[in-house]
Amino acid sequence: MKKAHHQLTRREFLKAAGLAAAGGLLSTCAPAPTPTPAAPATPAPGTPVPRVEGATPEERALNGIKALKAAGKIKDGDTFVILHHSGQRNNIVPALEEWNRLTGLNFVSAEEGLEANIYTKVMNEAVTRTGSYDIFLTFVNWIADMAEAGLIVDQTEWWEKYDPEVDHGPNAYVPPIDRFTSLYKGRRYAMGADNDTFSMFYRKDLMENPDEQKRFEDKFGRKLEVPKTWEEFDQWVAFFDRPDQGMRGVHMYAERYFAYTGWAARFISRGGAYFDDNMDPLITSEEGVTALEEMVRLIQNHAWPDAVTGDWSVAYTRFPEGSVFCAWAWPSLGKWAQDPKTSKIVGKVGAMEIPGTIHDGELVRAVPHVVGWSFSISRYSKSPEACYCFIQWFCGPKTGLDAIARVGTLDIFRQPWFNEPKMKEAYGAEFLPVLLANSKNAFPDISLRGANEYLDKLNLHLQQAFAGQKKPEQALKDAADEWQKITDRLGRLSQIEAWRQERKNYPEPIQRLWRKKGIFKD
Amino acid sequence: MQRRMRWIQWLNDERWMGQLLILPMQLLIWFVLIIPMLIVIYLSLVSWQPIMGVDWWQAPFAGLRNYAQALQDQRFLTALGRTIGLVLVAVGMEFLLGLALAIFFHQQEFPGKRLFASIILYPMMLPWVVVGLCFYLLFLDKGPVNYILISLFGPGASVQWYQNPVLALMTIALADVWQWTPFMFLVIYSGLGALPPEPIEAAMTLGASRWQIFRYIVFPMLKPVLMIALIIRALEAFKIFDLVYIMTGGGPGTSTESLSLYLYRTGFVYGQLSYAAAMALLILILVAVIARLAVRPLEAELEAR
Amino acid sequence: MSNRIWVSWLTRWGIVLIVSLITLAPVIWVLSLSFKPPQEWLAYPPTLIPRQPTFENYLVLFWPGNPVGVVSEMVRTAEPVTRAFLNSLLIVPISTALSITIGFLAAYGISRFGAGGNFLPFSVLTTRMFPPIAFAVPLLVYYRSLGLIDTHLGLILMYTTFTLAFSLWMIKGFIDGVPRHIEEAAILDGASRWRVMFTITLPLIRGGLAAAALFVFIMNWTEFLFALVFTSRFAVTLPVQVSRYAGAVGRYYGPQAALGIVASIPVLVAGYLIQRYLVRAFTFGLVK
Repeated sequence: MKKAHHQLTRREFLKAAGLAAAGGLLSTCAPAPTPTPAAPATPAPGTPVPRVEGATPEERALNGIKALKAAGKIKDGDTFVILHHSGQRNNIVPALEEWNRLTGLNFVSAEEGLEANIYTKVMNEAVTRTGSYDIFLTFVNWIADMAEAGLIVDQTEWWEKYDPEVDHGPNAYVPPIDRFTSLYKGRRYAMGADNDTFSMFYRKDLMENPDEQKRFEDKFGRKLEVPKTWEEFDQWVAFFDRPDQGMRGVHMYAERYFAYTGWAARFISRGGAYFDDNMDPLITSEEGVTALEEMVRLIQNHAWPDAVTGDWSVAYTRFPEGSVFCAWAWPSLGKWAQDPKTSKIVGKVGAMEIPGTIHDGELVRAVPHVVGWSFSISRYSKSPEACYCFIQWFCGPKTGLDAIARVGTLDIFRQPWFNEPKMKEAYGAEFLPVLLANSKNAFPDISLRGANEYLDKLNLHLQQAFAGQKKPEQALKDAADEWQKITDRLGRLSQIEAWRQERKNYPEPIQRLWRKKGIFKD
Repeated sequence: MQRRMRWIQWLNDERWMGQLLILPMQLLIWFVLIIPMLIVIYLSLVSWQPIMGVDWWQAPFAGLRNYAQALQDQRFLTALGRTIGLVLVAVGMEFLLGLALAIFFHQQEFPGKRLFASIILYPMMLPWVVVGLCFYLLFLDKGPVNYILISLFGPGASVQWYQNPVLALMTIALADVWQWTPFMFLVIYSGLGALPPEPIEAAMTLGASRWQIFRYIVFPMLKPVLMIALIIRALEAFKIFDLVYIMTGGGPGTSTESLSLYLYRTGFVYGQLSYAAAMALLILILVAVIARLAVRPLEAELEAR
Repeated sequence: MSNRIWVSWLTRWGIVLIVSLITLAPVIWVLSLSFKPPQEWLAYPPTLIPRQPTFENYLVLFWPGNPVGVVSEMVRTAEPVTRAFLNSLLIVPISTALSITIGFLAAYGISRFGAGGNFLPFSVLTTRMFPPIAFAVPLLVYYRSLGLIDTHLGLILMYTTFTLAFSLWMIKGFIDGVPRHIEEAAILDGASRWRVMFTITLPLIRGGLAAAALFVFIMNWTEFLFALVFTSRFAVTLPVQVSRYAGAVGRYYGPQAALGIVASIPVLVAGYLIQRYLVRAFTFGLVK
């Protein structure tokens, strides 16, 4: 009895002491209230911003650093940290060394091996505000989340001041990539450093085989050519589906993370849009359901089962080993399939534009731009402007060319680069025009705030449809219901504002089609 | 001198010695865990996502809404059931295999025993990422397992391991059993090594059979260790994440999603940190109740000694 | 008679070999993968013996920019694993030693004096019941205020705390198994309680301590989630480093497998050395 009493008091004491300590510590946990934005105060519209001198973006960036140093805002040896994916090491690290040599600053790399963990790191930084990262190289469709979480600064002003030559002039990015890799709610919150437009790769050797050409002509009454519409594409794939020879017709993603790509390409080219102007989902429309039915048929009849169960790397093993007739993926699949170290089909690879749908005689193609990387700048950086100068320098027409030509995750995005010998060597001269054409028809992933959740929930239900667990119509309806919940939770008004801006980043032919169908007025 | 004696006496006083012994542990746990725990509880009571643009301590109060939502969340409840099933199957098998192996190694003497014991312990020494990748590659459509099946039974024998949810879960359970049977072996084997030999020798001289010795002498003495091994392993298995994440990503759909994976998606992918906190606290309560029921007989037995 | 011996010999070795084979099969696959060049990582039909075996996957771990071969091309600018290795070698043994020491003291206090009451051991166990993922962000917020993010001390504190439950429960199980009369005899001989704890009880449960230490060491050595969230540049550990062998075209299975093998060697050695204590744990105490 005595013992119990003794313990009780001790425990009470500890509890009280602990709570007191906890209260004190808890208050220290709350960082200082959000500081006033480090972004330049937006001047009254129309006020001209003084331009920085220099002939090229790179020069202006370096001059900017000089000016910042002269103003005492930064000094030699100051450290700036760039968070990026391990796959971009080759693109970034050599460039950092050169930049540090040119500026005397100390820019260092902090890499992450898992893409998803970059998002985690970024969001954690938004919560904890350690200032341990200055620049983020992240998926394009995370910009909204980062901006709304108050983590990154609006770069619009610096774009005026330093002119990165992203959206105009002979060095411009391929439109519309210049827009959707940087804009959120009409402001430049990031700078694109990549081009993740999908391209379709196929077996050129089989297409050039006279026997195949004859058999195809006999069967369909037209010449064997690269298909232009999704309808032709489906026939083409079925024709070349040879399970008995260990080669299936196609690999298109139907798995947990990118299942939406194939469906979205058909859906959008049919004139579909993810949302209307009130953020009510439009995916259950006839366009959406037909597109999914076609995709499910294609995957279930003409693809290996790991299109549904594998991950994104499946395309990079299936196609180069010759076990599928055609496959689509990021530009790197072309490099991978033409490299004798990794491929059994070197010299047999053709690349083609992504098919589309014909509307009143006009062929409208919609090419998914899947993820993609862009640079944004932390509000908690010692000098956001110095960081801006670095990204402008890195993405510049000259430095960017060198950086992107090195093997890494980042791909070609400025228009003049498509004629550079260096790039022709890196990508193959035949592939570059195809990639350029596809890029011009590229449409972005959902890039609203909460994009991760919108896309994940969509994928979840699409994958169930591909696995035969759900009817296509039901899958889309379920996804639409989940989308409504997300929109309501995050605030519909703000999402509407963002979506109305975002849909203007789609390629012009698609926007025209929307207007024609009366989905959107402008 | 007098003072020093008092000091030593005090140190040796049973009550104080006990308190002193548990003090470092108490301090550490309080220091590291208590504040984050308070934050978790606070988060579970508000409605907050970092992307809402509001600081976490300023988020609107939500009361118990997050908890109510979790209890109606079909995906949460099915993941819970699925995880419990996975734990029962995997830990059950680990226990039986580990027990059998430990008894075998305890009874038999043969050259190279230490080496073979090391081999058995090896799977849990590999980084989890590597184990996940290894099993993912083994059971790929065109992986070694299917290759062996095809070369043994012909081209029709190839199995789509990740397409069928039941098969996929079995593959995950298999990987878990492979990785963690060594833990059961380790604990039980060292438990057997720590048993006093006299009772066993006495029983042997009395002519008891091997089974009798195990059933009536070894097993009761071993029981605390067995229970501890089971409880620790079950608690860890309940949090299974890496294997599921790498092997199936929870798919197709959500048909192999474990609780931790769903929590990961909710908290880290969807950014719904306060909802994730509420679910986590519900899980904590549930597991604590179950574990309490499991621990009680053990404690009662120890007190009876 | 000799027949029976022969049969038992056969069954014994049969069991040993089959178990070892099942255990080793996936490991052998990883081992084989670690000697394969990129084009063979996922090749079909899979081979056990690499067609063109290479040491490259191991070489790039320590010398990423080496001039030979294909893999180094892929990871040219990667950081060598040396830093992650040293970090792990610093963080893990320290936190394991701390966890075992603190766990042993507490286990003794609880087992022998009922310190902390009935509920204490259980409440320590609850630290393992909470899904760690929901705990990461709050802990980050707290660590931020202490300045412990991406530091060795931060990870050591975390790993010690999170493994205390294992140390406490496993060691307590073994102390509970030591009959009290052995200790009481020593006390009657005039030994102090502290002396008894260290010189009588501690040696008796060496096997249990070894088992607990090995397990805690392994848990810390392979811990991934918190290391991933809490480190970025300075305190990166081996499992996190494994995940960094990824790139433009997916995961680099070869270096990942090689690092997996390399990373398991210290644990393997520790496990082999520690077994002596596992087996002969109790006999010493009873011989005298």
